[in-house]
Order: sequence, then structure tokens, then C-alpha cells
Amino acid sequence: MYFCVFFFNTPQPSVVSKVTLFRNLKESSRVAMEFGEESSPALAFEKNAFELTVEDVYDISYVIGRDLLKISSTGEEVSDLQFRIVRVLEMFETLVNKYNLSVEELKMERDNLKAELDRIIREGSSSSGQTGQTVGANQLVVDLNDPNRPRFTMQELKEVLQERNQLKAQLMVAQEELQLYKSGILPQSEPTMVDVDLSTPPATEDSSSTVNEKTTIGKL
Amino acid sequence: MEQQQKQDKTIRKLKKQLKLYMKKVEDLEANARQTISSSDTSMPVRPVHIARKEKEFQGMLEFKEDDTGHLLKNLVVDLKPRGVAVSFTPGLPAFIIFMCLRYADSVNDDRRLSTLLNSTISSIKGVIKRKGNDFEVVSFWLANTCRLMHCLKQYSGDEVFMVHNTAKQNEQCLANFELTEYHQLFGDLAIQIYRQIIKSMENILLPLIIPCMLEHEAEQGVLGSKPTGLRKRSPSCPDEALTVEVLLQRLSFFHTTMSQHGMDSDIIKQVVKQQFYIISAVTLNNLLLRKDMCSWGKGLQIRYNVWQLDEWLSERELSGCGAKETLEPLIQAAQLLQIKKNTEADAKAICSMCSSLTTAQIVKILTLYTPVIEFEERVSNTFITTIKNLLKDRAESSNLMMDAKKIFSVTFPFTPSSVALETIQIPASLNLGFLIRV
Repeated sequence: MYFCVFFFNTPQPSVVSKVTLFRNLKESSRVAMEFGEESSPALAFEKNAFELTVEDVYDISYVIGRDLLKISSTGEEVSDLQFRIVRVLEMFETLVNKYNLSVEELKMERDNLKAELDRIIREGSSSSGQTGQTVGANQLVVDLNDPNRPRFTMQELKEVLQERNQLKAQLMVAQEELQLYKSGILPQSEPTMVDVDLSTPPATEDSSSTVNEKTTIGKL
Repeated sequence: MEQQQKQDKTIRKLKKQLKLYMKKVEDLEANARQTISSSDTSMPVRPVHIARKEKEFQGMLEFKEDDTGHLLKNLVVDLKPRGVAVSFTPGLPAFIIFMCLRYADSVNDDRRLSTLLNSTISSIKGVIKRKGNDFEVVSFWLANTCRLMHCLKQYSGDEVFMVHNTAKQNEQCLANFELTEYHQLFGDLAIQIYRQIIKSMENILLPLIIPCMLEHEAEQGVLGSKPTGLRKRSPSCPDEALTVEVLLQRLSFFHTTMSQHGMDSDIIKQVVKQQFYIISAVTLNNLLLRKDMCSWGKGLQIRYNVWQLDEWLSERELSGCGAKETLEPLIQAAQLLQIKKNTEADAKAICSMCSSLTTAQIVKILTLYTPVIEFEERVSNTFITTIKNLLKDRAESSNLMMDAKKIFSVTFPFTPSSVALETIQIPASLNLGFLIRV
């Protein structure tokens, strides 16, 4: 069963500056090399593209540079080629770096959100222990056996109240008229039956009371 | 009537003039067309591609004197020793500075030249001071300082240094200034940096030497009498077993880094020799103090480790650098632990074998020697006295310990480069756009 979890105060994921992140990444790949992962420069060429680090890019630069030095003859042609290759490698370095940074950042954010989620689930479950049901904010748990449980919608309630007010108003009018008849202001003819917009039994009650009134009036 | 006649006359006159001018215009146009067509015929019919003459670069970099600070900030102070540009062309910073030097020389500006040289030296000194513990930085600047020094010599115009130059390189020699004094200054700077590199390597190696060379026990039972189940792990590093492999990995890292920085192989060899000396001295000194290290099994272990070091030297093609020789005292100490130590003949054998150990050291080892196997006996006092007698004629120092801080004096033999300065283009990542390639 899915539930909605609302974040009231979203705490910021721990802010790690990009600089620190970059340094950590570089350090870890350098340490890996230091601790003899047998990463000779040539092995960088064998790696999967998505596993490359900037250190690999530097190793690749070294190997290509050395190879080019072997074949370089004097002349602008090789010089331009070398320059273009270096340019491409610089772009490559930027991309690899950006890629690795982004991956790290996304991972961190994902982990933070996961931890956040777990925390809130735990908090939620500890508060609604009795019903065994997790409740979010702005929600109400209703016991179906409770005689005082809310049963009507807002709309229904509004309609009923409107009707009552209307009836009350009509009743007032009817009572006023009755008073007038009693005091003889109005002619003693058949009291005009007040049109009552009712289909309910109270209508019969009214008619019986008017009969009584009639007799009273008749007496006068 | 008269007027009409006059008007007719005027009209005729004007018409004549008009005809004249029209003819003139036609003639002119014809002439113009003629000249164009005549010039057309002198050009080839098909369009010709005018090739721009390739600008020949002279291998210099134009810079303003005010740019010197900016140049050195980007190229020396803030430069990382690992990057695309510097990995691609080892020694690139040195070449760039030298190309600027050549420009200042070519425009005969001695002030610009001396500002550049002096600022370079002080910037490099500053970097070494601040980041002296970072092996990569120190190695990088040792390589580049030496390269700059070699460039000063190679392009000095001095015939001694021009033996391997190409004709083009000879053309590029310094024209106006003689910078022999700076050869010395850069040489001194290089020595300073060399000392620092030895120090930074020492800091990394020292915690490893004793655990890797002495304390680690190989698991196989074949190495002496240690039971196979016994595995000793160094207390300082619980994560990885500190074997001689770990030590070799560090040495490999140093060697690879120095090579990638373009350090002269002569210098690398001297560094390796110094490294091996440190390993040998530290190990031996420790051995001389610890009874638990003086056993037959330990002797075998040490010989195995030394053999691994030797193999490493062969792999890296460093066999002739003198590193192996620095291990002699250690090798002999290990042999001493294994050799028989009972009879007079044994004593003579020991004395002739341990040529690199002092009497004090031999006696100490014999005194400390701890037999592991029950039936083996400790070295008898009479045996030690015999040894002492045999060796009393030696003229040597009475030192027990080796001097682990000794640094062999370093030399920087001239190593010219075949790099053609006119082919160097500055990569964008160095942020030196204000330099103009000449």
C-alpha cells in the first residue's frame, strides 16, 4: 500500500564543495595507483570508457606524446598534429572529470534522499503504532464502529442547513399571520392556507393546529 | 523665322556633339574591354589557388616584461605536475621558459632576460619550499630545472654542448648574451631540489622498510623453521600485509613518475641508488639492535627480499646504477646469519666474506644470534674472540650503525634534447595566451 509522504522541512543534503569532491576523486585514483593497482600507462587504453579517471587521461597523454616523439620529423605538419591531439586530450580530460564528478554528486544526493526517506518512515511508524497503519499529516483515522463518526459530507450538510433555515423563515411568517387573525385585524374568513413547501409529515401537524385555531377564532 | 532657323542650327550642332561624345564613349569602352581581354589572355584559364606561404616559426615566444609575473604564476607556481599538456610533452615548462629567454635575447633586452631568469629561479624555489613533501611536485621541478639548465648549455653556442645539435638547433643558439653564470645557479638549484626529493621519498619509504624487509614472515614453511600456520602482520597497517611487494610498488611509483616527468635517466639512476642505500642502512641498523631478527630463518627471508629488489632493478633496466652494491652490507649480514659459526675455518670464512661489514657489526650480529632450533647452540664466546683476533688488523671505523642519512653527492651530466623548439605550440590548458609564437 502506497502512502504520500510530505516533507515539511526538507533538510539540505550535506554540502560538499566541488573542490573537495574533486580532490577526493583525484586522491583516490592516485592512491589506487600508488598502492600498486598495476596500472601501467598502457592499461588505460584497455579500460571501459565509463571507468576512466583523469589520471588515465594523463597516462594516455604521456604514451601518445612519447609515440609521436618517435615519429616526429621537423616541420609544421607534425607540430599542428601534436597541437590538435593535445587539444583533444584536454577536452577529454574535462569531460572525464565532469562525468566522474556528476556521477559522484548524483550518488551522494541519492544516498542522502534515501537516508531521509528511511528516517521519515521510521518516525512515521513509531507514532502510529496502535493502528498499525502509517498516517501522514492532515489525515484522520476513523473507527467504523464509532456511533459519533462523521457520516455526512460538507455538501449534504450545507443542503440540510439551508432547508432548515428556509423552513424556519416560513414558520415565522405563518405565526405572524396567525397572530394577526387572532387579534381580529384580518377578516374572519377561511384563513388562507399558507403554501408550505413541504412534503413531510409536519404539514399534518400544522393543519390540525389550524383547526384548533379555527375553533378558537370561531369562539371569539 | 529667324528664331526657328537659329534653333534648327543649335539642334544640329547639339546633335553633332552628341554623336561625337557617343563615339568617344564607345571608343573608350572598346579600349577598356581590350585591355581587360588582353590581360585575360595573359592569365591561365583555370583559377589558380594562391598558396599562402607557411610562416616559418623560429622557436621563440614573445612576451612583455610586465607579463613575467603572470607567466611564472601560471607556468610554475600554480602548475600541477599531472596534466594533459605536461604529460604529453615532458619538460614543456622548461622549453617554454627557454623560448621566452630566446626572444629576450633576440631583441637584445638584458633587463627582460635577467628578470625572467631570476624570477624563474625564485618561483621554483618557492614551490619547492611550499610543497616539498609532495614527491610528484618535487620530481617535476627537478626534471624541468635540469632541462632548462641543459637548454642553456645546448643553445649557448659553446661547441662542447653542440655536438648532437641539428643544424636548425645551431641556428637557434643565443645570439646576444652569454649566460654561463646561470648554468651554475641552476645547477645549485637542482642540487637543492635533489636533496628535497630524497627527503620526500624517505618520508614515504621509512615506515615501510622495516616491516617489509625484516618483520614480514613469508607463509611457506620452506623458509626455515617457522610453522606454516604462523602469519605475522605488521601492527602499523592492519589492512594489507606489508611485504617486500608493497615496498617495490612504492619504488615503481617513484620510478614511473620520474620517467614521465622526463627526468634524465642519469639522475633517475642516482635517485634509485640513494633509495637502495637508505633501505639497506635502515634494515641493517634495525637488525643490529634486535635479537629476534638475528636467526637463520631471518637470514633467508632477508636474502629473498634482496633478491626481489634485484629483480626489480633488472625489470626496470637499472642494473648498472650502483644500487645493488649498496645492498652488500645487508646481504653479508644475512649470509652471516646462515653460515656455520663453530670452527676456526668457519671464522676465517666469515672474515673473508664480510668485507662490507665492520668488526663491530660482525661481533654484534654474532652476539645477538638466536638459534631457533633447539639443538642449535648460541655462538660461543671463544668463537667471537677468534673473529676479533682475525679482524684486529683491519683499519676501519668503529661504527656500529650505518649512517642512514648519508646522501651521495649528485651530478647532472649534460643531456641534450632533440626537441625542435619551432614545432612547440602552447596547449590551451596552460592559460598562456598572452605569449606570442614567433
